[in-house]
Amino acid sequence: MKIELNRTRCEGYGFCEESAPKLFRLDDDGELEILQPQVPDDELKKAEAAARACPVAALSLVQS
Amino acid sequence: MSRADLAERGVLVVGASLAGVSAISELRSQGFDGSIRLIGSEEHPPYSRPPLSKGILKGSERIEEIGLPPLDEDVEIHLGVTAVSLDPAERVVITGGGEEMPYGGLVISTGARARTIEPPGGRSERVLRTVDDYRDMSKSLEHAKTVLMIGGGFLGMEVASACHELGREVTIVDLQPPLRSQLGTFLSELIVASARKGGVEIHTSPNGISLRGDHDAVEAVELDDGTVITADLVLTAVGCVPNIEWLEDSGLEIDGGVHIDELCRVAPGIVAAGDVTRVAAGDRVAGRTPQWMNAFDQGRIAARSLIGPNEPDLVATVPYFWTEAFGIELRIAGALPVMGAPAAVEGTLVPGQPGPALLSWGPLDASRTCVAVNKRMPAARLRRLVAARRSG
Repeated sequence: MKIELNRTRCEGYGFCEESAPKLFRLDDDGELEILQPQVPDDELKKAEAAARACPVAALSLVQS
Repeated sequence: MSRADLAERGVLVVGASLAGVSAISELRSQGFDGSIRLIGSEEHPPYSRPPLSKGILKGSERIEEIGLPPLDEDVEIHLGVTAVSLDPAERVVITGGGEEMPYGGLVISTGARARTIEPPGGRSERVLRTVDDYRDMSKSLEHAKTVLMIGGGFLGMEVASACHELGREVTIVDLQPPLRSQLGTFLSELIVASARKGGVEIHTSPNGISLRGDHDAVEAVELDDGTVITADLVLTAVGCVPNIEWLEDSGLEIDGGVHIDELCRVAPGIVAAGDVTRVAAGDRVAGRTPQWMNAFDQGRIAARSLIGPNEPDLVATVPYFWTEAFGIELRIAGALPVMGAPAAVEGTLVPGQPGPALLSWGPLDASRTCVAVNKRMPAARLRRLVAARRSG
């Protein structure tokens, strides 16, 4: 699975980082960085939780 | 309420709102794997309301784009279903269709509805709260050249701004200067000055207003000095009232909203979140906080309280709010309104074209409020600016 970010929707709430710190990071300016666009199998549950936790639905997981 | 009870009878979430959806995702994220049912009286899958008065009304966003993140497939969703009563002793919610829905844990997230000025049975007022309201409003707007907005709060100003941007002649009426009680003079003036500059007429009528109109619809408003203002489309945005009627016989404390403690607890096995709630601490009962971020945060807190011991999260207790009207975009972390001029300004505040700027009010402690003006700034960063001061 691959992470897709809709940057215009993202307001930097940071809940994805909280759910999956290995996949997401808010940089010093608070901009969202995707650390691993291709989700490793053992992080899949966390990636799903991160997408679900985004209050503006800016994240989605797509088949790669 | 034991965890086994919860798992056996499952969690019932009443209200397909942001608060309800946020509670559900948090339940799953915290490892709750029992059954979850969600009921909501609107026919639409859960969606985000703030865009309705902003991008959607202006036409820059589409209705299909404002859905909340989809819930897991194992969450049972019943739309178009309204709860009519609650029996906490039996742990059952009764629906409008007469169905009994038992629960192990209950999340109350029935939100609020638009307040209107006329008494029940009076003229029907046009409000904007739901997708259906939006559809009605945009249809009427097509044929309107002039728009009168009653209410200069956040929603009223956002809708007035969108109508103005769509080329309508806009008048705003309120009992007090728009946004002053919500934001304080400094910030409200940024928006009001910009509205006036754009040709929007603003009237204050401190001693009240009365609605005029021959038939069902409101066609004009009379101010306290006798002035009558007529418009093709008259809109009302005067706040919201909590959806608590279904709880009247429940025995829960619901005066002015469902009373919750800091951790969103109502009674054993019952939590509540969002616009329907007010926080009661000892003898002090705060007013409701009908705001998006609050609904989201409380949903998460409520979920954690329902399934186990909970502790308040510092960042999640910093209020966060945003609004945009007449070319001024504000992102705000901390308490409102703010008094006087900002203590610190980073950036520029040229009259007529304010921002990008970061303003702060208050001493460097818990009472600090940080505001980004026409500056895109991640919410988490703004909230942490305030949270850091709180803990330090």
